[in-house]
Amino acid sequence: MLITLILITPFVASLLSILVQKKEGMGILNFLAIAASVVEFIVGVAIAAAVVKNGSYSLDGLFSVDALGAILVLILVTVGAMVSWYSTGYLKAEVAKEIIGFHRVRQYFVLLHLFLLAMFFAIMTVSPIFMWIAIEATTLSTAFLISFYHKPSALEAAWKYLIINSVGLLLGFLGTLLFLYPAIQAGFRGLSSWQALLGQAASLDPAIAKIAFIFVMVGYGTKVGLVPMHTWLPDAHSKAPSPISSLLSGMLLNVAFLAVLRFKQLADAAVGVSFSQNILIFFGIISIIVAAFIIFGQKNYKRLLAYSSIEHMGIISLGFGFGGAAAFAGLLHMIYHSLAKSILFLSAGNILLTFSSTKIKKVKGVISVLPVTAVLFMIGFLAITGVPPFGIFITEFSIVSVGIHTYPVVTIIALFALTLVFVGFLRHVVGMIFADNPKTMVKEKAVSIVPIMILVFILIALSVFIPPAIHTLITAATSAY
Amino acid sequence: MVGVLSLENAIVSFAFSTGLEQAPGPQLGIIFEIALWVVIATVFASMIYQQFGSLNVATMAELKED
Repeated sequence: MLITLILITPFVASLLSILVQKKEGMGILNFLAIAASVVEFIVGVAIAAAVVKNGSYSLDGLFSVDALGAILVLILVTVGAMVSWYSTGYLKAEVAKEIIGFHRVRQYFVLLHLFLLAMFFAIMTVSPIFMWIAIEATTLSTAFLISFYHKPSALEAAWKYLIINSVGLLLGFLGTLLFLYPAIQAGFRGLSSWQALLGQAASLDPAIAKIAFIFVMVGYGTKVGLVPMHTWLPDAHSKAPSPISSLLSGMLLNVAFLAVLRFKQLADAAVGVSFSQNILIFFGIISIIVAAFIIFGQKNYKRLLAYSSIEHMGIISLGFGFGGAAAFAGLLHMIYHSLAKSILFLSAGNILLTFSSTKIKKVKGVISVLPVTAVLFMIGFLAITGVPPFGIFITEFSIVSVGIHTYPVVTIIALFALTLVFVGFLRHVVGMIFADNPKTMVKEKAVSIVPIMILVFILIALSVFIPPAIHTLITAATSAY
Repeated sequence: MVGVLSLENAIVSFAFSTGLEQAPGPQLGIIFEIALWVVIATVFASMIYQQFGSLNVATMAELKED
């Protein structure tokens, strides 16, 4: 019932949004977005509560939410709700500035609901094939959101996103089919579920399992944004509207990572844990290194945040690559990253609306023009770079603590890169926030800052105290890694 | 686009030739997905043609940041 409700809600909201035809219907579009996100939030929390109580929550053998899925559902409904709320104010401001018109607003909300639906579907389906379809659907639903402003550079970003991700996901599809081989050989002809595949994974030929996992890692790793398959990500994140960048970075990357983790379990059952761990560590460390150097020399603050996402996906990969306590920290890192990156992208949206530029050198003295946004952006910066007492400090420290014993060289390189990221971020953010600016202070609307404040509150609260229910979910979710 | 669709066809052919075909539900889902992809890619191709006056995507490499 709950799963049906959480899947139907964005679908119905999308259909109803299509029906809104007149410019006066802007209020209806906003109402639909907020109402849908409230329903999704309540249902998402109820699903997570059911998973805490029973270990999983299923629907007719077609959908099932386990502990890992519940964590992702919680992130999605939280970030999704704040993004939907923030979007109403953001788009209203863009309409007022005549950047976009009513039809574009309607297109935005229709696609936003479909994007959320695809992500819910990907998380909850029991079938790897349907998961692939849903993740491909996220590409299709967001391509028009990336080209939203119809500028040549936005069109180029969307085209690159569509082609690179489609090719990547096709390779992931090939890996998926290879993993299905033992289940089909065993005479299984129904809907191949993760559980069925896990039951047969031990009989998978080790060589095929290794090839399949490499295909999956390259395929879904493209969607995760891991280096060297990351080239679509900075363009897409910087050209999309800021709330969409927030969802792309804060949630879509996690959903793709979920696919990698599901297949990792299958590969581990076939060839042991060390193979997948080494691959995750390889992609993780090169993602951190490449992102760190580019962050240091970055000139565009939205691309800066995009490269930061690549870096953090690398850190999460390292966490699951190291395994054990680092895997726990990796999943916790995923939660903190989603919250912190959403804070940063939404704050960046306010900065972009006021300064009309994404170039760092053209944004000076935000603290004197947008004081609340500046504080929120600073908090996001401190959180994302792992400054204590924010949770990312703890998770990075935990991952490094595990890694230094088993992979000391990789860990030391990662530490160097993380330091470079902090220095790079600091030199960009200080100039943006504190330099002199003759502009007068702009009155910040509640709808543009309250959703970010709520995310900041959740981030700080989770940094100092992890509720037992969430701790239980993370422990259960990472016990197999 | 032709390259992506060729890869798609090759993978599906591989799946059938090795007995990895799926239940009807997932197969319909995959067909729907590919059909939708073709529609969206075609829309993008027409947008690129309108914007750049050519389907040669190499012209996009000369774009500079705004």
